[in-house]
Amino acid sequence: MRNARTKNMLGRITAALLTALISLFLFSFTGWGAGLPTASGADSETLRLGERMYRDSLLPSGEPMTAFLRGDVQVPGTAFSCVSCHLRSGIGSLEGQILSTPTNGTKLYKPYYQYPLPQNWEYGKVREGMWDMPESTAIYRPAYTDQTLAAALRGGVDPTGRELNSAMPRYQIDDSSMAILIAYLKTLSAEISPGVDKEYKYIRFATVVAGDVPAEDREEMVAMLEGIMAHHNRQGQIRNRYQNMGGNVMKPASFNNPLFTITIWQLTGPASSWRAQLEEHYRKEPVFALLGGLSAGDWQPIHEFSEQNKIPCLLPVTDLPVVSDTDWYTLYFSKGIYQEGESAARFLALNSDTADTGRIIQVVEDSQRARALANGFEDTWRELGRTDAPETVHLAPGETISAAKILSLSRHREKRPPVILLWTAAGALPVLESLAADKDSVKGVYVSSTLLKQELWKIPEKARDFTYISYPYRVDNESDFFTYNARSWMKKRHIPAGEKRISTHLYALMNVLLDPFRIVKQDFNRAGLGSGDVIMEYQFEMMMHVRRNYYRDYLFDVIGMSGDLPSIDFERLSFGPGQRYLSKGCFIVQLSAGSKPGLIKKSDWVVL
Amino acid sequence: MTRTSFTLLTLLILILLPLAIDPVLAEEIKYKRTVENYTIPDVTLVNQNGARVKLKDLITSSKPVVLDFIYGTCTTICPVLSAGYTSLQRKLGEKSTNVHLISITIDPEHDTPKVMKEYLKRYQARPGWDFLTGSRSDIDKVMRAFDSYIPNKMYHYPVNLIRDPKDGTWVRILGLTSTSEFMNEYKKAGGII
Ligand code: HEC
Repeated sequence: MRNARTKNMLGRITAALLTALISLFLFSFTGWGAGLPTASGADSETLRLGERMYRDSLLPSGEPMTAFLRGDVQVPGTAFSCVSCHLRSGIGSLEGQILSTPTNGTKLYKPYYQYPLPQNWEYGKVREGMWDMPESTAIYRPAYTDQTLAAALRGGVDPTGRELNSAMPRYQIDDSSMAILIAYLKTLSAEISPGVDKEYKYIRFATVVAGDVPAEDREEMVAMLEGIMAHHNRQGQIRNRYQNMGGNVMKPASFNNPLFTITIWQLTGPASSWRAQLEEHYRKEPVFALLGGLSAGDWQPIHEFSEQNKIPCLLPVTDLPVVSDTDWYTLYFSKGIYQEGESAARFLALNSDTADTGRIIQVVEDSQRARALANGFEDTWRELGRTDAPETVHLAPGETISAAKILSLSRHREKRPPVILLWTAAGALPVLESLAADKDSVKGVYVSSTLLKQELWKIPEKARDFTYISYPYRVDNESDFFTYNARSWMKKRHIPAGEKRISTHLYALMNVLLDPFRIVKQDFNRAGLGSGDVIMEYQFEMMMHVRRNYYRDYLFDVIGMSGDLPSIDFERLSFGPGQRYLSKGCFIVQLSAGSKPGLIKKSDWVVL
Repeated sequence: MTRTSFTLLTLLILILLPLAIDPVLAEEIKYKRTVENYTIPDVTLVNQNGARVKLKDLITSSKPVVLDFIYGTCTTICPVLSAGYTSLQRKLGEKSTNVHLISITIDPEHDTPKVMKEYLKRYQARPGWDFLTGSRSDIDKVMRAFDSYIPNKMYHYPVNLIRDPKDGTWVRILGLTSTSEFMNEYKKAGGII
């Protein structure tokens, strides 16, 4: 080993000098970090095809790309794409202690230092270990050129001749397709996203309040968001001050911990005019992302604004999100009230006590919430392979329905008592009251706690054993350490906690937003390599931290790699690349007997 | 600081930097192989078709069984593990059911039968490869029983377990293998191609 070191010395000095000369050449004309190849020459069609190669693993011809993994595993192009490992932003991922390094042009066309795992490292060790990188084991490579990059993608060898980790597939890509892919990589995460100050002093956010939202709801949300901003800014200020002491005069601006600012975008008038108002707010004041948010209607207009302008929206508090498998830019707590319909369907279909239903009659009041419940139920019912679609009655605005009328819809066709999905708030209690008088007339009634609100607690005693309630929150009492801490954090800051759970929901933003931006101690000479700047950059990538990579897509990539979270309201919030609904579950419960009833769980959090 | 002095400094750093770097390039971490005995927990899981299956019945068969822990939206590890399954099935061709490949999700809340079915389709899975989900507590039991407890997806690591039908012992492979390495281990554990 020692010998190898001396032998290599000469080569390394030559390489170093060469790199230095090239860098000098670049920097003196363009300044640090600039002068990178851009794809300004590439037309939009090229970029569309390149994006498809990167995201969907399809060649411009439409054929799947062929790849070889671990030397000899030939992989179907359908199985995964560059995104599976390097993620959407191209900044890379860390899983199983394998670091998929950055593959955006800005990083590829610059020298790079990678910190491999220590030789004595074993699988199963936790990620925190990565922070204490062993000294002096950085792997260096010079900037790629189009030629060396193509060689790396085809042959798995970097410009120094180092064989890449065999998790990186070797791709069979023809020359013209390769040019398209490379043109795309050059535009990928090429510019810091809007809303970030040029000197990294601050990052701008906004929150949307759409329409006539009750004043107390708005106050609760704003208090919570301001609390979160202040929490981050306090730590950031302390760290920035500390860093500026001790003679770190060399420190580039990007070492600042940007402080957060937030403004409220109040939308007024009819929902159809919201989109134009959003565009106008954004034009006046570009933001990095939208945080939280409340709407008097559904979230769709804001969702579409985010999606089309590629502006992240993190955790709006809404019962009416857009339910989509593919949309990227809005992260929701859950699928909202739709998810309650989904859970009712799963419970009914998959529970052996209830699966053998007679007819299902669905009553849908004239409201968006009730329609979302019905959609959630019907979509899931179909997905579970059930062909016996519920018989649905749509009520007119303000209309209520009697139990007799509901039962009359089924009696003449079926001997067995029906299951009733009662997606209505007004008039639900009288229906339950009359059904209780003749229990054999019904197999079960499903109601939504979100729709019933406080009426839930008034479900008549005699109807409780056949009334199943979808309840999207934790049921067990709040005695755990997490909840205690969360509650006291909020109390200390005098944040109201109303019935709609706005502030307790948003407590999750503490992790979802602040963790990727977490204030960490920065050690400039950790590995003794002379330049903290270069080193820190790669350590942050290994930690899945947005620092120095202020790209909106990367924020989502980092959030996708987060660990699961406890929550005051939800049983569990869980994350995954591309996952956009954090809470996956909803209990089906019943009320216990007595005048102060409790909730009895009838199902798991997730019904399988 | 002026640009010139910054450039000069950068120059200096760039000359000195590579000198400080160890020329012995870190080798890729090799997989670790052990032979183990496991007690299979008494749990009922759900497969990609929504069918309920007793894990014990699936595993205690006369065929070799290969088991791994993955999830629908996982990054680097799963492509490599699952591509290994795909290529083993390809080698077996018509006889793909001679071995039972089992993937167990560590993200049971997200991985519904629909998600799992879709995943298997992407990897062109043939009969003989099942993807299983279950309640969080049952999945935890399974991970613990196989000494593969992953408390949080963030700490996911690659494990392959191969059960020899003759004596019920398991070869545990910690880390990623190439197909030929995987095939060798599979054959050593009594697998037939
Ligand atoms: C299964 C995971 C996986 C997939 C899929 C994948 N990569 Fe990689 N890639 C890696 C890993 C891991 C590395 C790091 C290898 C190393 O440094 O030893 C890497 C390295 C690279 C590098 C070299 C970076 C450097 O700094 O030397 C480039 C370029 C690259 N990948 C581009 C791509 C492109 C483009 C695609 C899709 C066509 C792709 N990768 C697909 C895992 C993957």
